[in-house]
Parts: sequence; structure tokens; C-alpha cells
Amino acid sequence: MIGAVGLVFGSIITPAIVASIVTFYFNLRAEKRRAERDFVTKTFDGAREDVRRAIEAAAEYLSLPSGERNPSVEAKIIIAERDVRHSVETLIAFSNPQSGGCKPLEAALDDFIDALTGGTFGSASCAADLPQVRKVASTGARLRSAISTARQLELKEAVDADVLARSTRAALAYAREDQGPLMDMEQSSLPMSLPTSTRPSAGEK
Amino acid sequence: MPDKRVINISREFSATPFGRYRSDGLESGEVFRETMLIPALRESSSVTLDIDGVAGLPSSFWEEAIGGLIRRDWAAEQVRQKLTIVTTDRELLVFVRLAWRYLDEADRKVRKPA
Repeated sequence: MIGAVGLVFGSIITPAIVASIVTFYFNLRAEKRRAERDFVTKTFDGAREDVRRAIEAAAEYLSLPSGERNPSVEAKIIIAERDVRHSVETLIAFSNPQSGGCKPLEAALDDFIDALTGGTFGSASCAADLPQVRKVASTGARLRSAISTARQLELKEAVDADVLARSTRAALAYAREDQGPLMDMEQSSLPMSLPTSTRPSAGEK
Repeated sequence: MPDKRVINISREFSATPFGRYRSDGLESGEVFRETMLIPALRESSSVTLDIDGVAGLPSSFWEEAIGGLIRRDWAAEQVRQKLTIVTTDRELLVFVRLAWRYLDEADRKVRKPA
């Protein structure tokens, strides 16, 4: 009787308890990681949205001569400018400097802030400033692109650093090739392919 | 002559600086440069511009205040030696970087032969 109970405990209950504890731990860890990624993704998306709002407000404001410029649109630009600074500087602070996304993000932020409230912004007497509208739009587009690239680099870094993700990729690579032993972890951490440009290459339609 | 002068823009000039020229208002870059920055640079061996507390520094204001120094015959090197711009606010760091960019750009434009 005691032997049977011991057998049940030894071969079923104890492994089940250990397995449930391990599963609980990994679920907790995965949930925490997913929540962190969701937060960072929302911050990146929010930053891109802030930039878009700023571009629209600037286009509305700068395309009119000073006498017709609406103070409420001017207020929108000031608010949007502050939002952009806040969100992008937060991203820069969060970003790992080694991911390579920080410097281009910082440079794109500088260009955009320079354009957004530069030119004839706040001028008491001026004509419509269309060149400045184009400058705001192009620097804004570059900042939005830099935000996306920084996010991709962050994700790549996170995936490369994640033991579970590396193991999964190694297992998948092994399953695909169906040969040899499980790949070395270092070899398996192949870089994710990131598009360096959205333009089609020469000859590509 | 005070050796070192610290100017806190938000306390001593305006928390909401705005506009490029005097005609744009009394909180403009030109007014700040002429009434505060240039006198401080003339009278002190070093000037620290503390930008903490401002809501923002519109580029038109900031370029006129800093880049305008070059157009008023200050040498970029001389300004770099005397002027320090500081902030403890991460969101205002962009203006520290932009200030030196405006100084260099204005210097390049002045040096560029017509």
C-alpha cells in the first residue's frame, strides 16, 4: 500500500507539481515580457501619431499668411511639439544605445523640431510659408520612419537576446533541415532580416 | 565685473518665449539676445544659459537668439568658449543640441563667400 502511494507520488504527483510550478514561472515571465513589449509598442505608435498631428497642424498654419493664421492652430502646434519631444525623448531613454536606433532617432528629432517651429512660425507679418510646410512634412516623415526603424531594431535585439526565442529558432531550423545535431545557439541567432529601404531596388517594379 | 553669469530664461525672461524679431513681440529671440544675452556675454567671462522651466523654445526664437550672435559679429569660437547651455529636463535636451547647430549654421553662412 505504502509502496503504491510512493509510486504514485514519485512518478505522477511530484513531476506534475514541478511541471506546474515551472509552467507557472514561464507563463509569468512571458506575460511580463509581453506587457513590456505592448507598452513600448504603444509608446512607439503614440510617438508616430504625435508627429502626424504636428505635421497636419503645421501645414494648416504655415500655408496661410500671418494675418489669417489661426491662434488655435498655433496652439495645436505648440502642444504637438511638446508631445513629440516627450514621446521621442522617452523612446530614446528606453532604447538600448547599442541597438543603433538612438542616434538616427535623435538626429531626426532635432531636424523635425527645428522645422516645426522654425521659418515664419510666430511671425507677425509674413506670407504663406510653403517651403517650410514641405520641410516640416519631409522631416516629419523621416522622424516617423526613424521611429519605426528604432522599434524594429529594438525588437530584433530583444529576440536575439531571448533564450527561448533562440532555442525555438534553432529547433525550427533543425526541423527544416532535418539533419545533424541541434544547431549551436550562437549560430542559430541569425539576424532577422530588416528592410534597409522601402524603395524598390533597381530593375524591380 | 562678475566672473560668471547664470541666466535662467524662464525666470528672467519668459517661460513662453515666442517669435523671432522684436516686431513679433517682447518675448522674441531678438529681444532676448539684445537685452540679456549680449550684455551678459560682454560683461562676464562665462555665461550659463539655464533653459529649465520653459514650455519650449520655438526654433524661430532660438535660432535668432543663438545664430543671431554670429550675425551680430560674435565669433562662433568666442561664443563656444563663453557660453554654456544647461538643462536637467530630458525633454529640453533637443534645444541644447539645436543651439550649437544654429551657431555653426550661422557661422557657415557668414563665412560663405557671396
